Amino acid sequence: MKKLMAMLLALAMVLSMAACAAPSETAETQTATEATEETTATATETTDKPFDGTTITVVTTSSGPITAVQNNLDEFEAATGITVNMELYEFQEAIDKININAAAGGSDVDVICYRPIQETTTWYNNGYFKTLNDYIAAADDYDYEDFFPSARQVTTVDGNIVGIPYLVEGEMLWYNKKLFEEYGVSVPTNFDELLAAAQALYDPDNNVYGISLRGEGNSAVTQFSGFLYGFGGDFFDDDMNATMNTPEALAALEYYADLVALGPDGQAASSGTADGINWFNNEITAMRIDAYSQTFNHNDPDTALVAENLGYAAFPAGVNGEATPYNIVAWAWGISSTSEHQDAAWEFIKWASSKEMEVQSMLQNGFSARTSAWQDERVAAVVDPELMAVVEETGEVGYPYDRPHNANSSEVRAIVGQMIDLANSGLRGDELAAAVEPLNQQIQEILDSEK
Amino acid sequence: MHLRAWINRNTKWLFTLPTLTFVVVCIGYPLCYALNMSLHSWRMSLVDKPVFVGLQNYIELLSESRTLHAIWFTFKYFLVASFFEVTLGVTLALMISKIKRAQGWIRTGFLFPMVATPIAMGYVWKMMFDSSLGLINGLLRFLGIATVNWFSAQNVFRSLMIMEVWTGTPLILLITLAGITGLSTDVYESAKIDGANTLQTTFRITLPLLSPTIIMAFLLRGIELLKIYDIILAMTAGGPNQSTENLNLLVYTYAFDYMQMGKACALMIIFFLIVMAFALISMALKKRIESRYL
Repeated sequence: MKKLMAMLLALAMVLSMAACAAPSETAETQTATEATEETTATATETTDKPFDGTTITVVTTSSGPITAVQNNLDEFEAATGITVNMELYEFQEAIDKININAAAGGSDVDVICYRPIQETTTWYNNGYFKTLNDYIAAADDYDYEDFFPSARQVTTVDGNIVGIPYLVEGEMLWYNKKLFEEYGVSVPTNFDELLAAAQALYDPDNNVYGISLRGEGNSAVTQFSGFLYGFGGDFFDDDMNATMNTPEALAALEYYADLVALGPDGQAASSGTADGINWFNNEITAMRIDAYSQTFNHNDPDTALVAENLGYAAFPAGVNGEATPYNIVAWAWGISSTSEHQDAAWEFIKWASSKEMEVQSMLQNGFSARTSAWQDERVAAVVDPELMAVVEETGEVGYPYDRPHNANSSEVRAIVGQMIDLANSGLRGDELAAAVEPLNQQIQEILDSEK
Repeated sequence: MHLRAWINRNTKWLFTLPTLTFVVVCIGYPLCYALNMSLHSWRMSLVDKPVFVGLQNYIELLSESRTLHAIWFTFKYFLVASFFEVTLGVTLALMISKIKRAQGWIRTGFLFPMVATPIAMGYVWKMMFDSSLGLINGLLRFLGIATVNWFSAQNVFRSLMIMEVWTGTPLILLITLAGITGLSTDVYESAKIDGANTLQTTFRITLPLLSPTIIMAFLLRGIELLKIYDIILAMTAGGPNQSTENLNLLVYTYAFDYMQMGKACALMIIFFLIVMAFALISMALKKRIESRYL
């Protein structure tokens, strides 16, 4: 009995010790739990900023969407912890930089920009792109379906999404309402009227000229394309036969050169868009034809004299009475296959092409490929309704390419550029046809090598 | 002790090694790579590997009128520009050397075109030559004189030369001025005693004594003129109708517009040989003149 009592007392003592010890043990457990919670919180925080400390390099060119990105970049960097190194280049320099980096297998570039019509085939074949399907599937609120179907199509190869379109553009006509009124000219609606208007406005004695157009061949190819289609021509046919020697293409070359000649002296040699913008902005030229994404150059009264007299018109109809402007995805985001920060690069693209950022892009004169951006009230409040109507019309009738769209697109483009140069140098009729023929043959050789 | 002895024995090699490494890595290797690539056909835009084609790139290039025109234009640009730059540079240097006051200011003033970024200057001059918005035609319009299309096929070379001479003359001028400062006064004193006038001392003493300096300035500027790229790119981009396309621009076009690296490298090698030949000829000329006058 004594033994039993002793055992019971011992048990009671153990239990009481345990009871005494319980609070401190609980405290330890709590501390442990708190620590676990803290770890979880830290882990959650880490999940929020999984790329904290990562630096990515974005190679791109100036445009409305890029201005929007730059304006809001601090928020993105603060939210994700990613440091974004934005490198802005002139169009071709950006492409060259990406090309060289990819060809050399370098990892200097993470987010790339590219021109879907020109680079997709080549870069896809060369394996420069990281496919985005998995990223898009995992991004719940992204709403990829919101992008125009044609824009999604042009950035997808064999079911692999390689790019996210960020700038669409189409060919249009801006005109100076004041000069049109002074010279009694009405807004041209077809090629004949366009030439007649440019002639009527050609007044060198008063330093007024008909039209700003890209003169130098290679640069002019894209703007020339609408005229080429308007005359019933094309760069090559469905069977990959070069067709720049056809009567339609030759007529388009002559017509384009006739228009270029109605610009200020030196337009035929002008290498790109800058001259045309300056002349039109300063009311030297009465019209300008180029991509509507360039409207931001003309509608700011602080930088453009023409802004207060700016008129918008659709690209004039061609010889068959049909309007044939191009309407394309000009630029898209992509991820370099050689990037070492592909997930962070996607985080950037996902943000830059989000619904809100696409609205911001539109507010910066960018032209989004997202349907929702065009329906946003903020956009409707600031974009000129005349311009909205032109963009809508261009979207309906536009050709989906504005340059040769084969694998060696750059080379064919350069050859077409030479043809434009020849027409601009004054060659016409048989002389032009004879000069174009060997160049057309060169295009054929390139196309044959791709068959 | 062994190490020190070894260092003492091989000092000349140790001092040469960094330069040698630089030359091999940064000049030798790219040159050999370009030489090898020039014998291949490779479109960088495609996944296909380079294919060995021997001298085909060279044969094709040298039978194309575009290449021949680019070679011709490279020389034309070099010859006309160097003629005006050397003549003007030396003349101005001789004149300025006679000015006693504000030499520093004058020299600094002439430095401006040299230190300006060529591509930026190219764009500035392009704006100045602009037919409608440009300063030059604006002045002509103000004076009631007919304006000029500075970028027409007939005038574009003239426009380029105006800018080129403006940019390139100061180098010749400053080198020549430095040369004049270094000339011994004894010769002039004896010439004066012998009754030589200013014209005679200039043509019989100053210029012959300066000739190695002038040749050196010509060599330096000449190589730059053969290699010129940025100014032409900014002003005309080779246009109109490729009439101002030199070898350097054509190399760029083949490499980055056409992505034909084989042809671009072949053209680069041709270009390299031309510059090399020019440098060797100039050096030989300099040596001959030095042995004659010094």
